[in-house]
Amino acid sequence: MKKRLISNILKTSFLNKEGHVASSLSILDILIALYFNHLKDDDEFILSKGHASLGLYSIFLEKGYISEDDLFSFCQFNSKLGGHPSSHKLEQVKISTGSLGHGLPFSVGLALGKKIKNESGSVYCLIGDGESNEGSIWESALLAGSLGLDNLTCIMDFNRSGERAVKLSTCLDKFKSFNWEIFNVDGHNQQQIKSALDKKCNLPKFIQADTIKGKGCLIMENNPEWHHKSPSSVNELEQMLADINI
Amino acid sequence: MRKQFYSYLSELFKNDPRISILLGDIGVFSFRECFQYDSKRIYNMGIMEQAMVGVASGLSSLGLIPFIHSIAPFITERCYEQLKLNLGYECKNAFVVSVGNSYDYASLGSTHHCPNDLKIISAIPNFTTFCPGNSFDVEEIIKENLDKQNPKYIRLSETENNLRSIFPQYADLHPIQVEKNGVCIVIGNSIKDFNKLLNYKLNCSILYSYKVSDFDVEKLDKFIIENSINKNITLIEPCSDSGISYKIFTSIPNINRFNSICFPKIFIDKYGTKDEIDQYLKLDDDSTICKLKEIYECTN
Repeated sequence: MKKRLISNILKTSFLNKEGHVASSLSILDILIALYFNHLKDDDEFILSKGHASLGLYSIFLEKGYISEDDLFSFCQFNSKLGGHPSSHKLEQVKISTGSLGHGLPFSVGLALGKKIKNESGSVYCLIGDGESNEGSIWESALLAGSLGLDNLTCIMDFNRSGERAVKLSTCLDKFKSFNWEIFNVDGHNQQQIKSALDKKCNLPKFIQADTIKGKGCLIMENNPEWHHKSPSSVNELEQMLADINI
Repeated sequence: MRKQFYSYLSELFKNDPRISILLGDIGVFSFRECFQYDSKRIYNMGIMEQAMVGVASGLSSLGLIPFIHSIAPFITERCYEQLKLNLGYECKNAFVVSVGNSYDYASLGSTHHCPNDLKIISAIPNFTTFCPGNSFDVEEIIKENLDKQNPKYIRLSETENNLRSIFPQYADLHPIQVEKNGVCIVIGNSIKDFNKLLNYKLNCSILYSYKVSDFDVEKLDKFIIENSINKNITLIEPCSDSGISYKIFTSIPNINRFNSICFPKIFIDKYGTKDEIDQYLKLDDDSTICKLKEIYECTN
């Protein structure tokens, strides 16, 4: 399945000359763990780093939420699938993200709302380490810790994008100091991700998932050139598909 | 206006379990009964305005009706993108209620002034914006808009007009005075003393509204046509141009003259009291009435 997901991401980006492919690949294992091994009907998932939308859409295709035609229409005029996910287009998207730093505050609101209404289910929010440059991430982290929201999990795709600007050796100590329970996993190891997701906590949970940007696509791995770039030719696409490394 | 708002919202909170209140570290003592009544629905979020707007959006997604409340520049300008995306684009039922407009906190200086709030929030699609002039307006706005599925912005002020003591049942844009030589539209508390305004017997019609984004320009046009009023129009606002003038310009044909009395595009480098700043800017009642006399020529 993973090879199919990567292949669909690459093909879609090639066909439409759009997409943040490398970020979509760095979150893929986290999404697989969530969507195929963890999320329940009453849970909510928020992709705060909305530019990794191709990762989410490829999962949606696999889950049957969208069709292959939908996926391959990515970013076209009448498409349901924009460069960033919109709540206006897909019922599975609870909030439109793209501008960074918006998903976690919203997730805190959802988790708090579930508490107020005594609703079951948990809220899972995926942010990026680069996204954590935004002050709203830390406001939300402070609030969630203070409110003790044990129905909230924040997963950070720690692919070190943020190090282009600010060196963050880890975010674990920061979230811990904000009253979160912290876990550090290899973001490409299904067992480790699942184990951290399954742990019961009495506080909000922070999982720092150490990942490789562009994981699975050799030419792209940890290559900043590919942050917002699509395969440019059939030959390049075919080479990338042949080189898929999982 | 602010005290009555606290009192009204506290009652609403007790009677409607959908209401939640998020405070930006103001009004905590005033809402103490709500904290005692149901501490699960009211929070002091501190001065984390960006997160507070996002949290409100999340609460609204689950059918709750959040009221977020803080000082005007911090709950509008500081977290503008959150208002635009989390509430505006998502079209959430939520109330953003500010205090301290435009320079109510005159003594605190320009960092605490916010004359542009109505202009910038009205520019966000889906937002409905209000500029109440008194506490009756505030209650009416909340009652009429509680179940509307869009975000609302209410700009509270520390000062009130006395319109409802003269016209208790005032309806939006109902004429306070009808004269043929022009029409003067008063928004919110830009005039405090309507008795003083009426005593001058200005040779123009006088209308009042607290609606900004939903300013009823068709009603204004109809009033002008039905009463054969000269299209010498004056708009008085307690803020910078909120966008109402654009609606008037683009909807009412053949305007003879348009006059705007509002906050100028400046930073104020004075302190003192709101009244002193009003006088400094010539936006106090006496100065405003003087300008109206010049425009319309007094009949007495």
